[in-house]
Amino acid sequence: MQHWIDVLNPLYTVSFIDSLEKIFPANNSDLKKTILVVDTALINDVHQFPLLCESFHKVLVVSEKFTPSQQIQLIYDGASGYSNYSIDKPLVKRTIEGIISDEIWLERRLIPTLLKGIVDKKNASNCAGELNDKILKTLSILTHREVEVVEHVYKGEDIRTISNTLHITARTVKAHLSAIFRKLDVQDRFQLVVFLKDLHVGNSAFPSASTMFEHTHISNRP
Amino acid sequence: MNILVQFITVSNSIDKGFDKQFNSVSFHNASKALEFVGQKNPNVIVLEYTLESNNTELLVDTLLIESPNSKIILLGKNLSDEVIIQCLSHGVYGYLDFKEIDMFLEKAISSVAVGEAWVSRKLVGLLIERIRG
Repeated sequence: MQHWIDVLNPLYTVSFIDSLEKIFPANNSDLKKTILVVDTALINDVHQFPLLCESFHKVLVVSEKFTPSQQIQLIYDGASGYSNYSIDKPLVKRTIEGIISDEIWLERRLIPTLLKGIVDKKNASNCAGELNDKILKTLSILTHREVEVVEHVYKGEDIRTISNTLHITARTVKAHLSAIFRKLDVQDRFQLVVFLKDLHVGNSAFPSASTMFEHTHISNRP
Repeated sequence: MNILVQFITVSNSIDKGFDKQFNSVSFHNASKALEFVGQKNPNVIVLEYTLESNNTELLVDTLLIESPNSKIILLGKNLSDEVIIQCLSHGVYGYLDFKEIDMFLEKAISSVAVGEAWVSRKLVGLLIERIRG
């Protein structure tokens, strides 16, 4: 991110921190005048993201690993924009100028999908509470225990809480998470939650692991 | 690309001059326009807001039921952000003010026909704020 700092330093008051813990608890009215440019690698707790968006004036997410649909989900969740690390210097300047001007900063080609998602969510609001076939198909590649772990991650629980709830060791929870990340092709828990929201899990009650497992494996019978 | 453009307008001046660039047809009556949309599924619909000023959103919904793959560009005169956002949330793909027609309508139609949205990032931002709020 050094070239971001190099471009923006002459133009704005820029400060750099290497840990989000140095921001929280966010009880500083100055944050409301600040634009946060955050590397997703720093977001360890998925509950931090909405809190960041509430605390700061604007939040720009920077990463190289988010798919287009996940980028769009970040916008729904409160981000003002998404960018790759390695954009050139004029674009860094243009990105921040756009964010300051209340623009949503996303690749132009994704705007139609973003708009369509808004319309679809509006039209699908009557479907809350129904099991989502897309979720079931996607998560059917996970084991029963892995689905249970996903359910707890989606609630924002940390590894210790999950291990206590499921009566397994923290090491076992981590092993399940590694398998989940590999199967769903996500990098970390934050991206997992964004991935799940992208499946519109948030629009319906998250089905229990038992129900989901039974449903998917009945569906898979010949 | 042979783009079928349907104009739904009050006046018959907006659509003039576009026959050479696009395969266009015009309607000044919503009922007949709906009938055509259902039969021909135009690539792009250019809809003048004042035609059904109290029911534009309903007309947009109905047009998209008749032809889900059509992309709608809204035309209006000094429409408020609120009105434009409302129409965007119903599925409109673009907005153009009357004063921009000569300069941008052809480009807007071509862009929207290939799946782009003709709307400013700022309006998208306002729409997102609305749905979050």
